[in-house]
Amino acid sequence: MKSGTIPKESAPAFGELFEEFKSSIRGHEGGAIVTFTGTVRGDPKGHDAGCTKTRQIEIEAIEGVSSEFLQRIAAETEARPGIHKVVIIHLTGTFELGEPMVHVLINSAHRGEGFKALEDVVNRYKKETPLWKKEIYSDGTGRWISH
Amino acid sequence: MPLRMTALLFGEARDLAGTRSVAIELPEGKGTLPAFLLALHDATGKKLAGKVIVASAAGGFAVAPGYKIMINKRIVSPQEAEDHVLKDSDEVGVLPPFSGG
Repeated sequence: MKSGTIPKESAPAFGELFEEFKSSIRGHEGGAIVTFTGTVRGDPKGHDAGCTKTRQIEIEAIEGVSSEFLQRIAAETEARPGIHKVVIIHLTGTFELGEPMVHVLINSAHRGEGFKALEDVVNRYKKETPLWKKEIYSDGTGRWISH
Repeated sequence: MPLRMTALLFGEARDLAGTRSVAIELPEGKGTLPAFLLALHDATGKKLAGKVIVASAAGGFAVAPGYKIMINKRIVSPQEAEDHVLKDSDEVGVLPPFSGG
């Protein structure tokens, strides 16, 4: 099970990912599996305050290249003490309100290392991976977001 | 022989230009990033001006702050790209600031 970007249409559901992740760590489990799923939220980041809501998010990646960045972040995090396995799956395409766009799964010796690593992984993939996010608003306008 | 290369545009740059890739031709011996950006500026009808392609301190063309350049799938800073000699058949990506979901 490898980190990478996957077109939304061919991405497995979170439940499938979780089961596959559990299978992949069998025999060397730590004491915790911590996960993060990022979903499309209604309050816009890139729009002036008002009654406009986010209707969709568009996520773009570079085929092959973006996956390598996610794999590097996962490998570097796995090198930390107490972290056994890290998988980052970032979906691409157009997403409706509430739909998942990204999953991070971490197997760690204890929950403390897992939670800290999870926070760091999320901060890193947002800033370090060639991915682009466009908010599309209920008034029909849109804006590319930068963190 | 002129140098023929491809500009690949992503995110906001793709939206502004209205296309994902643009054919670029540079005179032989002129495979520099500023020359490439000038050609891209012209080939996209100046739609990238101000937001993606800006005036450089040296009086030429540069990418906007926060942008990166990808040369044949290797991502480099604009400073590194300035030192790189672009060759025939190169693919040069113009990458806006990253923003994962």
